Amino acid sequence: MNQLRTLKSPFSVNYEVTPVCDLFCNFCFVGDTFDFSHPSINHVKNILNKIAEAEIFEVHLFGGEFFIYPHWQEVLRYAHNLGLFLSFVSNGTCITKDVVTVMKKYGIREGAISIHGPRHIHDQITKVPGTYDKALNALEACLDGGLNITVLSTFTHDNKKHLHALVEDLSQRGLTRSSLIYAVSRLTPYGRAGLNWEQNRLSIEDYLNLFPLLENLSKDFGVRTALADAFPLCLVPEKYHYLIQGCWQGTGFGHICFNGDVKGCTVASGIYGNLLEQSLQEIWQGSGLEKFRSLKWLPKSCQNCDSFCGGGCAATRPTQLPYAPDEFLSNGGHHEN
Amino acid sequence: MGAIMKINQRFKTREDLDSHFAYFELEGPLEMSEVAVFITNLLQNHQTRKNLVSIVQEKFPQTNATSEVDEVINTYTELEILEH
Repeated sequence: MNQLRTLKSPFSVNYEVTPVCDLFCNFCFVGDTFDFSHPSINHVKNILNKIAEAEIFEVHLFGGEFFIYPHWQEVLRYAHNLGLFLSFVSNGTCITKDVVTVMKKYGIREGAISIHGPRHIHDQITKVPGTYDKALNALEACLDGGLNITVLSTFTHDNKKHLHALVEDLSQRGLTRSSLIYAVSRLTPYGRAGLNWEQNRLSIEDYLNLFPLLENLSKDFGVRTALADAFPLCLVPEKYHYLIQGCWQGTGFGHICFNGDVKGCTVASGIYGNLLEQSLQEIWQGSGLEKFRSLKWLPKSCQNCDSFCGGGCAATRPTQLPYAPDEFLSNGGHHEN
Repeated sequence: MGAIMKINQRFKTREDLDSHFAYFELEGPLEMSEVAVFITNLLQNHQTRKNLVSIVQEKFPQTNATSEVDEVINTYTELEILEH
């Protein structure tokens, strides 16, 4: 029977330094709460100390939007001095050449910038005009500065027919360089996307059309492409498996919320403890995540699969639980095609 | 005097519940033995193979130091994370 391995703590985490964001993406997993405020720098340093004490290797600085945090430079300096490897996930609205210079000073070599489609689609999704051009300027500054960047699009009905146009625009601007990866994330039923999930969710056919698109984007524009999340491999033609990055939530990867809550996954709702109340190692080895790693919540066919792929994404099915089988797997153990 | 080598990127190591890991900034995690972690940490600075074997032999007299060092060097050569 398959099960996931228990480590003493994750290798890497997304750390939501601030919940505040300057965009209003119509699928954001955070939901419709807009009255967040920035945590104090001492609170952030306290959490970084806990992360370092747990011997986590790498921290992806996350939000909200990390670069609108008023003390973001101090966060970089402090985390770098703790010996943490740093990267970032950003919407790019605040990244300039000067910001890239600071990032490099503190050891950042790579990051991700969310761009959800060509200009009219991206600005429609973020609900803030001008953010596409800011994101592309940020991307150019990062690439010019020698950073490796992943451009991330969350896959939605709004953009599913426009992803080629986005990468074509990146190419025309000279941004499809060897240091760029173009990746697509799965839509999840949390926050705003979950409000009308049956209407918002994508079909298995949408995803099966995405894989050849990703392959063609790579051929057409010479850029590496990927699905940034997990997907049940048994539902995808084998020739596209290389495109699926997978997920190691609950084992090598975790998420730290701005208030110190520890989750296995950035998107999913399950909270396993708070690292300001108990050590991250205790939380990571605790019963909540042990239950997740037992995989008994997966269909029997996954639990016993000889070619176990992880079962897809545990954050794609609407549930009140911390995790659930991939939206395209049936609970009975038979795949839905 | 043999070829001098070192690991070409930042890395950190840790002892885990039942194993050891090295985490390379660009390559990610690699599971390894206690001896391999020791060798890996030595490769933070320039080393020769001969020097590595000598240090490992002294620290872990029960192991086949030559074999352990060669295995680490081969692995990192394949991963292209050794600079000479």
